[in-house]
Amino acid sequence: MTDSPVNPAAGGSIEEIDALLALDALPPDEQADAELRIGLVPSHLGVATLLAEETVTVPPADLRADVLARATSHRQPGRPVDAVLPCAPDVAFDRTVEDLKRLLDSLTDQDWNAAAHADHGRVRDLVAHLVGVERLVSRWLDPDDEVEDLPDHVQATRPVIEELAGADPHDIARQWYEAARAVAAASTGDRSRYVTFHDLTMTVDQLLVMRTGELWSHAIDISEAVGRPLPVMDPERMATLSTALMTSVPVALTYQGTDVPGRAVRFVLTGPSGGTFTVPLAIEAPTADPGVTIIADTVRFCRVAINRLRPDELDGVIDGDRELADLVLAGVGALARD
Amino acid sequence: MDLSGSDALLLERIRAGDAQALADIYDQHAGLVFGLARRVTREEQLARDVTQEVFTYLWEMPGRVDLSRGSLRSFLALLAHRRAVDLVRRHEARARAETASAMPEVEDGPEADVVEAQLQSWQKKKLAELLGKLPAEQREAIRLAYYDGLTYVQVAKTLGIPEGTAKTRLRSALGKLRTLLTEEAREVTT
Repeated sequence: MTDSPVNPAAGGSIEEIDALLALDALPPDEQADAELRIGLVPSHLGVATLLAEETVTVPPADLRADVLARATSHRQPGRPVDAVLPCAPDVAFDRTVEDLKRLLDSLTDQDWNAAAHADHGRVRDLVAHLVGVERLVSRWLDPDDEVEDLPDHVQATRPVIEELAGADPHDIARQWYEAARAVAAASTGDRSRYVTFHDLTMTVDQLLVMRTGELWSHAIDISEAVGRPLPVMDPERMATLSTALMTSVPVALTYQGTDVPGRAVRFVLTGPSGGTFTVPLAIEAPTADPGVTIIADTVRFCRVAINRLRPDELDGVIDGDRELADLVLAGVGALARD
Repeated sequence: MDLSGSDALLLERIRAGDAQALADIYDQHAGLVFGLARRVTREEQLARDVTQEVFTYLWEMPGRVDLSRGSLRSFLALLAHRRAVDLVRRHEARARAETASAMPEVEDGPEADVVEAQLQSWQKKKLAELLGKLPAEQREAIRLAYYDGLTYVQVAKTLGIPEGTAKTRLRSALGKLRTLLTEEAREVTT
């Protein structure tokens, strides 16, 4: 900062006001005016901090607990400072269906034939797969329907992909949308009731969250295939996904056979949809002290959980048992179906 | 996630509601916050209050910390000093009258002796060295303004000099310290 013309309001140059602000040496009536001109943080901050270093003192031993108790009584731990509330699973599913519909409506004839998925094939085949999934889910939601055993998500929809192989892609998209609306209609009522989904049993709410994740993952596949920006979920939906994901970690590890009874992990998921969670690494295991903290962006972590980002691409921070963290990150996507 | 420094990571954790991060920040910086508050307020209970206010503020409003303007430690020092000065000024008439005669200078107290023994850091020695390079009149003005929490008007009155001179003296002192710091940094890097 160089010397500047005299400021008549505060009675000095900007440099002078900045220095006085750094020292908190302005009378109260001049302080507000100075903060308006300089901002809260003066450029002399570094020098002022050096002056502060001279005063370093060991604080009383009991002050730490008092400070932490007072702070956390003002703002509850665990929730982000700018937290959004998760939306209901049926709302998350509805919004994701509409997002995918908009994406499909915008595709060109060429886009429909772009390669989109290693198992399902082109964009049109991927949407046909979704037609098959929605049809199956509607049946699983119907308590009077006896569905044969279909543990493999990919194989279960092969017949539908073959059935729609010669169809107009816009008709495939229309069929998918109608089938998805039918799933939404069949999900009303008691959403805590248990239903089948391939080889898993879960509540209707959990099913809707899982399907929201699947639709998001395929929207990513299609967007990547046709060179569009990746779809962005609103923070409420991300909060729904991240919250559900935290409760499903022990289930996912147990399903995969990599659960670790007696151990726990602490997740610090950043962004308004995240929070801080201590999660046991086995079903019904007693709460354990976390052996590792995984700090990561919520959206990126959820992408790992839907298998659209490799764990080594998470760009997070691991504090503690690295091996345990790797095991957990390798297992969080075990329940995802796409 | 762009977490180029540990301050950024700690703030991200605070935003995410990680109380352990607050504990970590306390462990790193409470000595500065409490020490500065005690030095300015000259009263342990007030220093405790300031320390609680500073960390509670950080926990509630981590978004107010702008790491492009300075480190987390600088921000906490700024906040602690402002809060301490505010307290002192609110309690000025009563507190100063009571403490000026009854309280020894903080740096002469037994706690400070312990600290002196424990915290012979490079930074502290360096500060003493840099302050020693200031003219005595500037050093005194800094002591009154920063460590005693006086306004420049009060500094002028205490030293029996015009207000404009007090302002210039304080600004010159900080400017000189900044220059010395810059030269110091340049010497270290070359």
